[in-house]
Amino acid sequence: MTPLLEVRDLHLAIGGRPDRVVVDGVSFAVPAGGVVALVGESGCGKTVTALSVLRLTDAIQPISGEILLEGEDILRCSPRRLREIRGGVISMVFQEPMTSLNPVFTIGFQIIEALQIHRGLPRRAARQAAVELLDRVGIPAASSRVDAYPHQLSGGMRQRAMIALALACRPKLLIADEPTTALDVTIQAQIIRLLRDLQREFGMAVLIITHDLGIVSDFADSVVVMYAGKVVERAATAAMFSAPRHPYTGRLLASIPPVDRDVERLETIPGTVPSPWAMPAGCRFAPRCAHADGMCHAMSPPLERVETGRDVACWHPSGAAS
Amino acid sequence: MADAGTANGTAVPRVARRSRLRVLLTDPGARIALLVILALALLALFAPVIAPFDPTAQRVADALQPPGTTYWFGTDEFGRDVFSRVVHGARPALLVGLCSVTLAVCVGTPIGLVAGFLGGWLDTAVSGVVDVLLSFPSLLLAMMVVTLAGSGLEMVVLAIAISQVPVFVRLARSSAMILRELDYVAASRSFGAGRLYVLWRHILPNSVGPIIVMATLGIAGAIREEAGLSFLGLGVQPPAPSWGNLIYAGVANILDAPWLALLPGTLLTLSVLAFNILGDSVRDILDPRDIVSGTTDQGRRT
Amino acid sequence: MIRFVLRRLLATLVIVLCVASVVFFAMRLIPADPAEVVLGDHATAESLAAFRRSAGLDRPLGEQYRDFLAGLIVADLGRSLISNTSVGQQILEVLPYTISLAFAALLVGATLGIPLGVATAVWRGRWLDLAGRVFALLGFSLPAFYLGVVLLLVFSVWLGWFPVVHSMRGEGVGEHLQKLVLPALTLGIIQAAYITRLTRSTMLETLRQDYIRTAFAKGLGSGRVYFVHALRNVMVPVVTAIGLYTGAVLGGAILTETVFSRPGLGKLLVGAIAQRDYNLIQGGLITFAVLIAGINLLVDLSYALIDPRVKHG
Repeated sequence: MTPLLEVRDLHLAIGGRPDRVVVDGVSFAVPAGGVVALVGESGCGKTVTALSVLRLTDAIQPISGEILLEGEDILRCSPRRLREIRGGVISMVFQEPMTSLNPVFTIGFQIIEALQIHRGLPRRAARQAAVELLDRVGIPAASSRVDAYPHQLSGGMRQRAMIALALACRPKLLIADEPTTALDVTIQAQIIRLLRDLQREFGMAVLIITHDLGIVSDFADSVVVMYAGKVVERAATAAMFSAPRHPYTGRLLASIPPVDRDVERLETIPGTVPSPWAMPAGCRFAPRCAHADGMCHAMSPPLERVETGRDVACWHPSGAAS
Repeated sequence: MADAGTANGTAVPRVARRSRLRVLLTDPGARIALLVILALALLALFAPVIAPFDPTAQRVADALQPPGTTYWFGTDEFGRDVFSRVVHGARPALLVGLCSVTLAVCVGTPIGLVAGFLGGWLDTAVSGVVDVLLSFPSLLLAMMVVTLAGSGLEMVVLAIAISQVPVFVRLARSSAMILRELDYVAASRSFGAGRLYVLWRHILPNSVGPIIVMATLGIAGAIREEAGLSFLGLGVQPPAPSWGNLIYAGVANILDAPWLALLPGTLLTLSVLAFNILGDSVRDILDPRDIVSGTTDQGRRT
Repeated sequence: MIRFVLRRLLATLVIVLCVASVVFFAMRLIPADPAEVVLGDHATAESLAAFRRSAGLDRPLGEQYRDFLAGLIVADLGRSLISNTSVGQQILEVLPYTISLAFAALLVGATLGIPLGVATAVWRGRWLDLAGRVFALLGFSLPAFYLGVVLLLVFSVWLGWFPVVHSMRGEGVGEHLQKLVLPALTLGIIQAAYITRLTRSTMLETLRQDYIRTAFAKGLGSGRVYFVHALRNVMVPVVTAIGLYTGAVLGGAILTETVFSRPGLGKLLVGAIAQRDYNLIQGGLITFAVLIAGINLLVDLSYALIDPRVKHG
């Protein structure tokens, strides 16, 4: 079955320059109605990968690869088709609700605008739909809040409004870029719960970008782990959490502080992420990996299927026969 | 020279003055501007040598001649050579430009630094006065001073300096306010440095950048103001030549001798332009933040 | 909101009062004796004394100040020392000219400057941007009065489209407008330079904001994003800045009126200074102060209306 979204061997570079590649051959798929988490540290390229699905990056441009939406390559489609897709088929929710809404227009206006453009609704119907949407995302007194300005809402409310905006036109895929990072911890759980409910109700696919593994285990069906611009592991969530195969994934999971016992020191991964113009030859994680050998430092491992539903890019994946 | 205006309040570390100058010289605009300014300075300094005629000598028989071989840019209604008068006109222009701005900087900067650094009611009072002064056109302020003090070169310098003081007060004040929040200022206070010491050793050197930019642009403005005042008859009085009063003569005789205003006006515009370009170039070097990145519209990418 | 308005109103009144007082005392501090200046060197002691008495200059300063303030409240600015006509009347005669010039200049400036500013921001880096920047630079550097002279030369002297000297007599609206064109263009082009630069940088700043990315992500076309989402945000600081530029325009009007021999407050003031008519100078300066303070007040209030963040607290 064709996945809803398929990213194939995507290469992104700053200014399109081959010597400034920030995303180096990333591939993954999002099935219709599925929830995929794109995970990694800051700077690994996950956000820019997500943005490039809707071609929202300007400084960073694709230099090769494809992004297929139900088989159609949207990296190369016409501007007109792109506008249809944006907001209509694929919607996006951003990290900062504070700044992602236009301060001089009411949230109602901003939602109605999307409804009018994608669904051609007349004004009255659009307003009604907007109120219903705001209500559905859990904003109290929606019929009066629809005329509120963004600064009149709290951070959590603003993010809900953003979600309402993104869902207005019943997209098939929702891309959520760190939707809870900028919010209070107590609100974070509410927003994730909301997303989960909406995903089930509308049957839409979700691609969630996050560095919070708690969210991943709560919400995602499968995980794509990125490091330094490359995918290092792809797996179903449960499988990955119980038995990570890539050393990096293992260290990530290990660094989550346990809730059931006290620890003396927090686990960290020694070293730092290499910068785009100083990438090591060979496996990019090798300098920080406890199990790296000569081959690891010399050659970059390809992403390979090691078992059903599990792809790893490592010469010595854990638990594999050596 | 550090930039006191960075967004998160951290000052850019001091780069050697020499290398900044070198960077400035690579900018073609700045190079041309500096050349023009140099030419003007030479013109002003060596005016009596460069001018073929005595600028105030009247030759009524030759009045209102169009540009020709003897009088390169013609003569005015008193038969005075326009070219010579224009050359001499460079003197009050540059003199007023440099002196008034220097005066304004020397008076305004300390006031602003102290007000911004100390804060409190002093700061509120100073900012209030500065805001009111800044909302008035500088020409009006200068005219008021000239009314009180009389016309003449020194009074013009004073008048223009007064109209520029508020700008430097505000600039120095905002520098001081940003810098006083910095860690190393707090650090030096913590080991007992007096407030004056902190102002002198830390805040002043780091405020220099924007002040230099503003001063360069201020010279441009001062030259224009002097011309304006002289044009209105409130500045340099005839027969002494100033580009302003020469342009006025051009207006007064516009039907008989339309060329009269063109040369002084062109030189005036060139001078102001040169200082403006120089000021912009200096600003670009000190605050690279102004160079922005592009937009996010994918549809229009070629 | 009401409190905001009242506070600003009060502040404006205080400022006007202060400026008027400063002007008053400044005029009294002039070393020259107005009586001598007006009557000349050969005036007798008696005529000097009579002059001073009639002008109220022989009374104690405190009394004079009190009368001055009382006069201010009823908008009585005294009598001209030279022509003995009411200062207020003289000012009122010429004020409409200055105000219409200022207004027309700002209109020209905004009409030219805002679209140019938006265009240079959107097509950043292309030739239009460069042309716009050159235009702005020229606008900053060209002295207003010289530009006026050039326009006068080109359009009045060489092309003959407009009369060179404008008389004040017998004019209908059409004539009035015709005489406005060149001076308004002069001031307007220079204002356009400032407005272009401001609009450009505000637009660039606005386009970097996250909500612009959201707008594109919604599938809006670039036209709508620039001219609805971005521009609405740009307008807020630009409009207030334009209001604040009025001060500069009024200053420029002083020079322009002289170039085009146009009646106005500026020309009146310059004449008064040349003639040492201190009461008229005082009245003229105070009128300028009231105009500028009043406009700043209007700008502040309109800002509160335009920006929803201020309006809805």
